[in-house]
Amino acid sequence: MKANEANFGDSISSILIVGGGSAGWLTAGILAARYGKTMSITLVESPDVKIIGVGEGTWPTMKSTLKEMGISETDFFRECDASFKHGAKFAKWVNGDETDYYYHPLMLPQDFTKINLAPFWLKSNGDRSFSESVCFQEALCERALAPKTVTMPEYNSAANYAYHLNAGKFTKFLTDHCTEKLNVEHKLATISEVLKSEDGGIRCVKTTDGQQLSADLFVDCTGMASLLLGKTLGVEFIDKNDSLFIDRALAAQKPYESEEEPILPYTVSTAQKAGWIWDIGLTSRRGIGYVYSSNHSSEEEAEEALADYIGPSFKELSVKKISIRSGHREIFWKQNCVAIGLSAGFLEPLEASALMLIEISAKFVRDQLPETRKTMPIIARRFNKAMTYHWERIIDFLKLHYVLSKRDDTDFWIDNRCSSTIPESLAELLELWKSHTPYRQDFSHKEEVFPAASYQYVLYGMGFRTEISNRSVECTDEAYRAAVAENERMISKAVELLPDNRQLLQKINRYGMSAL
Amino acid sequence: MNSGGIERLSKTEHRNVHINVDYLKQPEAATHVVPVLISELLSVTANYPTFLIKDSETGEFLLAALLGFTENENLFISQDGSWRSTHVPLTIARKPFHLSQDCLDVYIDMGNPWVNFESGQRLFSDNGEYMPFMDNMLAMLERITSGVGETKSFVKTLLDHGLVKPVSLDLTFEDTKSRNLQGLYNIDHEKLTSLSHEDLAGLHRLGILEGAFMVLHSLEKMKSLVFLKDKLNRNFAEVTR
Repeated sequence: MKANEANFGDSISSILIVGGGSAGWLTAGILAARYGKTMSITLVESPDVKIIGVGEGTWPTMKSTLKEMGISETDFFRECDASFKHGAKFAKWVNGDETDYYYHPLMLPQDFTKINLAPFWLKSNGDRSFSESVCFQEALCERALAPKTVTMPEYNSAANYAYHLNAGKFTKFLTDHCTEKLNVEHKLATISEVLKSEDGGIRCVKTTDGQQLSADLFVDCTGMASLLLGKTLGVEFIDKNDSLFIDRALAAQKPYESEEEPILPYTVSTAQKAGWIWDIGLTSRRGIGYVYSSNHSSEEEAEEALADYIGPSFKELSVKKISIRSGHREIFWKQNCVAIGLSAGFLEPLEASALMLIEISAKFVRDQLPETRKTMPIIARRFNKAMTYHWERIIDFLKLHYVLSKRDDTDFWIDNRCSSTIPESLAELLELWKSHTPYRQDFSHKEEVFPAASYQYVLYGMGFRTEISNRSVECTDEAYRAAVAENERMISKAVELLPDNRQLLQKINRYGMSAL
Repeated sequence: MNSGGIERLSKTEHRNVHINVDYLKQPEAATHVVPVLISELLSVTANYPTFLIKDSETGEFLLAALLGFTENENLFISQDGSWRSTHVPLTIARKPFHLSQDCLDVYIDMGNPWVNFESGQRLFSDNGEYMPFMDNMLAMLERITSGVGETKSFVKTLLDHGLVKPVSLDLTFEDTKSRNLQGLYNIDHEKLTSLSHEDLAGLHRLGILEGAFMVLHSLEKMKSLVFLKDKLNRNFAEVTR
């Protein structure tokens, strides 16, 4: 141990990842794909700690994450019950009517890098929704079509996509890949104690079977326990419950009614009286759950709402109850310890940000891994700055969905619009958007998690009105009409070309996809 | 012509059946690309540019010969219904027969337009024995059955060694129309020649090296196919003039 403490200026050559859920194994895979041959990468996980495993929606970033790890996409689909995701459908968020829905697709509006179509769409006052007018993915969702054909190579597609996956199987899949292909050492042991070093970092972790595990960099993937960063190093948790009210989840798994029931290629989020219900289609089953605010609903009421959504089969399903706490650590990297995953913080899964945050955190560590202990504080400061920015933007973006709702049937929705619950940064943007549409200049961070297009989809999907002055028109009506016509053409082409989602998934399971 | 379905071939039931080989009347011959087997590879590559393509139903790679340039264009069918080259790909030549999975029974598709009771090749002699046409057909069916697995493992070995690459061909025709062919894959010559001695020896032992070079060299037949298309176009222009 002494050697380690005296290592100032010495090179960083070993990483210990503590915790083996999706966060631990994704981090292990991302780091080991780059450093598996040149560094010692170890993951220690307790055989008795159950993983949370509810994060079942990803972002399109997961494609490159898997590809860079050298994973065959066919194997991933087969072993993780994975399915395609074009985006999310938000139902009953605006006024709660049966016909109330809008889409947030994964693809940018047509010609987005050249023209901002939003002002034209607003001026046109047409009867087609924003997403339908500017992006062809809504049409694919409504028809339950896959984003690609069976002859397209792995990770290639006609429409951009993300995944729905079985989190438990995903973790197992990554474990095998990391240990068999990427040289990650896997230890099964229960942590009994974490020892601090004199400089206020982590010295080592002790296990109940008497091991002392040390490393140059510790990655805390211990979930909500935040054993290293929170408990041992005492980094405070910043509660965001005053903005985001959701603090409970009820999760269930529903089998498909038949082999013909469509596998929906998008996440459905249906607003309820005190929160919203997620509905995520895998190849094997649907994952359905209600996240709600315990200040606005009792557990019984929540269970009733979930039962209503699921239907008669609800009584045969087992329901998992989870307490959650919205918020994040004050910093995420302290001394030689960086937290990734729930140990860093938690936010409701409305925009599937959990796995994405793990990916960007682990990729940051991978790309800027300090060479020496001396440069570690510089990288840590950068990491903390970047991650704080990401968490704040995600919180703003999640809150935006609640602020734009016009529902007044329950206090949950009314309280959500109370100005004291709205982050200042979001309030400022909302003021700006009364007369400006969000576009490239508004979100200029190098690695912005939500592009301006996402704000457009939510704002105009939820009926927000930006007053467009004549001055702000930057292109001609012809350019707008050409883009909308091009989108129309894309819709008819895609609808003709692309197969049913369930059919394609069956073919992938049967024949596989080619790497080229 | 015939409305019958698929029947197990019997010398009593099918004593008077005739097969009238006419490629103009064979729906499955109206294709610009046909799957071929490793067991016919020499004859195929000597006559047609041969590639790997993806099965549109399954996405799996197949070995295939190119017969034309547009959907359903088969340049090898003459106006009199005969085939323009010395080797008819087996999956077309075997019409209207196929073998059962265990290779014990021969089946005939009575609905195939070639099946009739008047003209063409007889299957059985008067005393119920196979005619030479049918002996030849049976040999062909056996070659197909044994060739399917062999072809799959040929393709798989090429893929496993990373020896397959997409090709994009720009072709120019006499009528100055040029065409870009998509969806074709070929052997990666550079990778093939840079394999280790052990790998090369292994592929040679499996008979795959020879096949890989046959496929590679068949690209030269692309010129003949363009030539054929140009010639047919010229004839067509003369006729319509």
